Amino acid sequence: MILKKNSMQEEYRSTSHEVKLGNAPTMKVKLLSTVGEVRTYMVIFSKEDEAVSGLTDFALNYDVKSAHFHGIGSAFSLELGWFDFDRLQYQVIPVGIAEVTSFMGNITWLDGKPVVHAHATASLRGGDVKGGHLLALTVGPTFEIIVTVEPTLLNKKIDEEFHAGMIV
Amino acid sequence: MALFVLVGLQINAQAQEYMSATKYGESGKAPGMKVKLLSTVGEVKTYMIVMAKGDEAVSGLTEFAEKYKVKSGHYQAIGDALHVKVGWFDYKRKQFLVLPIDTAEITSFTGDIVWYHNKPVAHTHATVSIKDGSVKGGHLLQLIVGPTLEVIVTVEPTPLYKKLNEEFEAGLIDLDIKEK
Repeated sequence: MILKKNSMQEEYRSTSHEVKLGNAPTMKVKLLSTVGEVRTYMVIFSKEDEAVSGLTDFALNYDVKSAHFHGIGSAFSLELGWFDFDRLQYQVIPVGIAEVTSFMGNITWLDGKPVVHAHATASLRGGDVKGGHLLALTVGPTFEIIVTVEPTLLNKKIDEEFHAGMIV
Repeated sequence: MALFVLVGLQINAQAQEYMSATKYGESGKAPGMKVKLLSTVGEVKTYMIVMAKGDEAVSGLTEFAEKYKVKSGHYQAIGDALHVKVGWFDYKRKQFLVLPIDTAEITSFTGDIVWYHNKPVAHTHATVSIKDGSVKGGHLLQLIVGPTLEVIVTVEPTPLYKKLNEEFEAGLIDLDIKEK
């Protein structure tokens, strides 16, 4: 659900906004190592893949009970969120062509669906950095993510105070 | 043009510097680098690499990959820098616009090691904070270490390779390449 505030043209996004699957058609995955029950993968996205969608697909296709990841790459565009405690929604910060300077997060489950929670910083032409909760990221030439898949199931539950999923 | 390609950079009228996306680090510029194996679990090794004042970090990581025969790896670090050059990829020029930054805390430093044309490539993105606390960042082109740089490197048993992407004139990881 996308809500617009007309006067200042600020866009807000619900914390329950659903990620569309299948928006990373050129995603490739390679297992780097298996140590005990822990698996580490390299996930590569290329031009115009959407990273949050791709990682959600990854979680569904690779039997992910819980995982954590970090990556680098470039983006044609990103949507970063800043949590507005008054509205209990993310204010959307749109960012154009950027180097993604940090990208880290985790994968857990909420109501039978995997949830990819990532925070990122991205640098603009001139080197200034913006950051926030990652709502969407359209990949530029490449995006390289190391995902560590753990054998332990982690679940989220909706927190009534913040209207957001919290790991329990 | 041949000369520009040779040195991998161009300077235009506004004195903005650009660098080719296929110009990678060369070993030998981090003489103070020290390496310690922290653990071996299965076929995965984790190292602490510490670089000292004046070491160039991209060169150091490239040298580490050569000496320790790293098939692929990934790392995270913190530290200080006397001087940093980060790049922002300009799609029109297909080159990195170079941003030089002086004395800074390295607030994030993330990357991976893969192979390209029989040489290891350390691909790093970083953010750094300057005197007023504001943060700059980009694709790391060069980093001259301040007092120290502490890098945790995880070395994986699976080889990974880059391939030249014609559209972007950049070496990109191709997971389908088996060996080269």
